[in-house]
Amino acid sequence: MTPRRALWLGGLLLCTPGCLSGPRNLGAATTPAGTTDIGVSVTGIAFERGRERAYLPNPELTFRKGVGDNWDWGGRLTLLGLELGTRHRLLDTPSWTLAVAPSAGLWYVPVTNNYVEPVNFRLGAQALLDYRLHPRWTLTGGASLMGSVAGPLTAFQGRFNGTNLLAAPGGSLGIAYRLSPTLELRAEGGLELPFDLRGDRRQTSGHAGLTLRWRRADRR
Amino acid sequence: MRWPGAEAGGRPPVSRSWVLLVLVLLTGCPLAENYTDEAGPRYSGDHRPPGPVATEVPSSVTFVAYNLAFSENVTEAITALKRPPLAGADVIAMQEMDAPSVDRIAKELGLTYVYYPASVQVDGGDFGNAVLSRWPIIEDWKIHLPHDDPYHQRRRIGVVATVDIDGALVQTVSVHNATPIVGLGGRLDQTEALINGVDGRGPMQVIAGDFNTSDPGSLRQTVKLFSDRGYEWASRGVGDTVDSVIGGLPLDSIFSRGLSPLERGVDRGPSGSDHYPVWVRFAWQP
Repeated sequence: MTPRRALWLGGLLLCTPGCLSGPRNLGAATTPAGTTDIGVSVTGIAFERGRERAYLPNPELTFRKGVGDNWDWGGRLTLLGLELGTRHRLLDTPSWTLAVAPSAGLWYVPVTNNYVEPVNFRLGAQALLDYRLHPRWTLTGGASLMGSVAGPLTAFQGRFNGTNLLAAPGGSLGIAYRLSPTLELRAEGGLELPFDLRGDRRQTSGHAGLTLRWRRADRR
Repeated sequence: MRWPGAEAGGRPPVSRSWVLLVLVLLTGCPLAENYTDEAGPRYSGDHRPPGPVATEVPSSVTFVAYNLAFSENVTEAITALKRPPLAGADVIAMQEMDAPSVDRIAKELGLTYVYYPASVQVDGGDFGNAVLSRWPIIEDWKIHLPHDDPYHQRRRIGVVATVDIDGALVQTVSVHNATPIVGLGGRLDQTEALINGVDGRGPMQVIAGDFNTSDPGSLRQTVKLFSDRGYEWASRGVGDTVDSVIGGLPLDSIFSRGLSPLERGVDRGPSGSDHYPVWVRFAWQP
């Protein structure tokens, strides 16, 4: 294999893990109206491969756009998948912020698919709780429940053989550091405990990574 | 065809590329035609010369795993099977075969055989597994493997032949697991179905063929699964069996239980296939 081909293949593999374990890298504080957050995440994911656990890097692009005083919308994008959702701030005190973030995503996951489920549609929500430790430091706890339809590409042709319904409760813990008024660095780790609604528990999946997020004012 | 609204100079509500993508998703992968019947179709024949197979008890028996790439080059395969180290093989497990090709090979080599197709290829030819043998085949059946592939719903099977080698029975399975478009968990389920399919049917088993263990870690987990079930990786260390654009791949293996491997190897001569045949010579002390 030539170095160029190896590089190309490596790059492709790097970009195709997809949606495993849903690292959203979000805090509870919504993006203010009139601004947009753009983020780059470098996340490692742990997932079921064969009858063991495997690990892969999973780079993602994220964005959030402020809409109202207490809500924004946005998503995350990988090479072969997109998740979109909103985030709604429910409670805000000087130390605490509570938000809920429903989302839906469609992913093509040829590399991390362990059976015959390269197409994943995920729908669910995450509750997020921020605790401000310091003007620059914020601790975020998250609890999520995602439902997935995972199946073969032939589902588009009406053949659902091999399709599974999965539920995945999960939790995450993150800490954010505000580097400047427009720049934030966030570290987050999390677990999901997926189970097949018609069958067995699946292996726990997880993620850990860093996100650098830049905030900019929207053009008027 | 004009898009609604195009007359007014507006952009089409849905771009042509999206429509094309949806059409590709809907029609791009033709569904496979599988043979889902429990028992058939089945083909068999016996082209062995009349008389006993051997005049004395053999000291060893040789098993071969041979994926012949859509049975396209049967003449080359016959040549390969007539020259050392494959010449005189006792049992040959073949994959990607059709019935006429199996019959022709058996006729040229003087073997008995059983063949089951798993599905129909896009060119209309059958695609299945065969066991060919110098020794009598006294029973045979197919094992449907779980997890049809997610792009064409193509079914994979294993073909089991009970071979009577000088009065001792060896369950021989010709395997062709799915490619890595079925995840590794699914392919391990397929391997486990094969092991379960011959479990408890006798003291000696040989499971041979194309396990499609090309992706990282898949061969190691496959070997572990067999090892946990009391099998030996009889073809351990033979190396890659396919040369591909991304390098050599160890797709084909032979696993055994109740038999002791003496020699093993890959025949790297012209094979008429993208796979090189794998062979193992076992000591015969039943």
